[in-house]
Amino acid sequence: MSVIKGADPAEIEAIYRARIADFRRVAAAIVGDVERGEDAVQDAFGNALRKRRSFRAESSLEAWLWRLVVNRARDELRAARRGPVPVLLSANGSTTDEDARLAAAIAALPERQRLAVFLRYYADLDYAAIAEALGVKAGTVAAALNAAHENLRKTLQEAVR
Amino acid sequence: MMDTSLQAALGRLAPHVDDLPAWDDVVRRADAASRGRWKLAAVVVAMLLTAGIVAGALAEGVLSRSLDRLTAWVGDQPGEPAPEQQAIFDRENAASYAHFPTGTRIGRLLRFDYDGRPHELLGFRDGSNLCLRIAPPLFGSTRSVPECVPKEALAHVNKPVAVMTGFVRVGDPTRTIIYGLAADSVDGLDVLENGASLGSAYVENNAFMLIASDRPWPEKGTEPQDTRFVLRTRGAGGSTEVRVPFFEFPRAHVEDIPGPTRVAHALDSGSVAWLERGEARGKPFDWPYNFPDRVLYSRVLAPDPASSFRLGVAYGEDPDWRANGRWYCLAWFWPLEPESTNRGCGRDYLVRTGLSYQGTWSGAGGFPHYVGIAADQVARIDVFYEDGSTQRVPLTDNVFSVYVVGNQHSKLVAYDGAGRVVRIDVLR
Repeated sequence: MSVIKGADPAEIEAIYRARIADFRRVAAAIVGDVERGEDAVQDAFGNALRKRRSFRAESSLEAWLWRLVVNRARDELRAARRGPVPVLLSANGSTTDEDARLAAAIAALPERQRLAVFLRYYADLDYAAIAEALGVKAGTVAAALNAAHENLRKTLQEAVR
Repeated sequence: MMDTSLQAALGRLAPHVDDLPAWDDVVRRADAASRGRWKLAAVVVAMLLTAGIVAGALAEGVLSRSLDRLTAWVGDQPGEPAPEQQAIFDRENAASYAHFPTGTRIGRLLRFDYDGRPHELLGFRDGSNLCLRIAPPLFGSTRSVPECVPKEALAHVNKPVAVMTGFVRVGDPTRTIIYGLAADSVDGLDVLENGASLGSAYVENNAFMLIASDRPWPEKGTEPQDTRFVLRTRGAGGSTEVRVPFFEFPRAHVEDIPGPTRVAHALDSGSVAWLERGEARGKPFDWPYNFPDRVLYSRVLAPDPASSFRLGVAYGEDPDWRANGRWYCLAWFWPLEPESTNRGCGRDYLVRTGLSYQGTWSGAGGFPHYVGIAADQVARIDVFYEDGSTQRVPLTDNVFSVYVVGNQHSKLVAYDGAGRVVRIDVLR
């Protein structure tokens, strides 16, 4: 039986403030655009405040917030997408051939693998937290990350040949 | 396991984002979306709305210690939209001498019946103040005076409920009325008079309202000082008892309250130089009252930048008054009031002690309001409470306006520019 606990707005705000850069980085990576990613995060937290009473104590509050952010970013991507998944830009604005290949490889990953990579490496979430955020089992996350690593490693190896 | 080169490459690709939080924007989005839902609901399910279905809850950060969760006060409009009351408010606000900011949004916190007529407790923000207003007015008056309290004063309540005001045995038939703010943790509120239940309050949208039937006064000789009203909360935070400061409790001694107990430097020549030399501060103001007989200069000021309360000041002389000399006069102006609600003149206290002020409170006196003028020699004014906390008094252009918490003993302490105490007054 699930327990409806309701989320404390002060806790939501505390998590937002503590991890704002991670939320924005993941959302930007999903959307492929920094500003739209930030917008998605703001919307997601606004949604969290409105729906805070529906939060169930069966998962952690942070995982619930991650799920809202990821879902909002995915909605944003779907709403704006006209072609392939957008490619990430490099952090410093310059893109090497290797980075460009990797970015393209990430864009080509199945969605679950791509989201797992973002949450693992841009937000430093562990497998259990990623599983809660994506609404899957931890074993599924492990499998998705293994597969993603393999795909990306091949891309890098090909790039250095 | 991922190799380091892949990890490094992913790091290089990590989007560069701003790490500056924008929580206010989050709250605005939550608020805006809730209002949008309300507009839709108003069209589709008006009947449900009138039954009191509440829009999705908003959320909020910290206001104060015990009143730390006031979810309904998130955003620029507390509670539920109240378009009819908004229109009335806008009209009255435009017609009054002082004004709340244009765009102030009125929200309905709860509905209640009084004398068989429906009433509403409304809420709105004024800068850092939280304001309540009953509509229509309870006692047949044509205007309902808002009660406002700064968030800073709420922080000194130390209880999950704050009485804004109230009235004992008023009207015909008589009722006892108490209303104020309640934290998220408060689900219900019982009111006790001398230990006996007086009734339960409506609690909704972080506000409460008690309308209790009359009870006979205690026997002659025991009222009103021995009458104690207590609020007993129910809710997730357990039960807490809060004394309603209906009647002045015995004034404390200065030593009973933490903080300075002695004046270190007595003033004997206090003055307000800019007013005396006619410097253009604040806004022009034509002092309309009979006293003093000859007004030399007058302006209207905003003593607290976080409030729409305005204070007219005048410097003048009145040869007919027994203490010949020049006078400093104050006139209070509240928004929604067509004219000054309180005014008076003084001289001796300002000259001799650095301060001249008045205090007022209505009904339950949850937050007595003190307004005054300070001599140039006064650089700072603080309020000290019995629990050891302090509150800085806003002081602008030599005038001040401060609400203190009514359920604690307190004293006001003024300092000069060297940090010396120049005046101490026990307030409660």
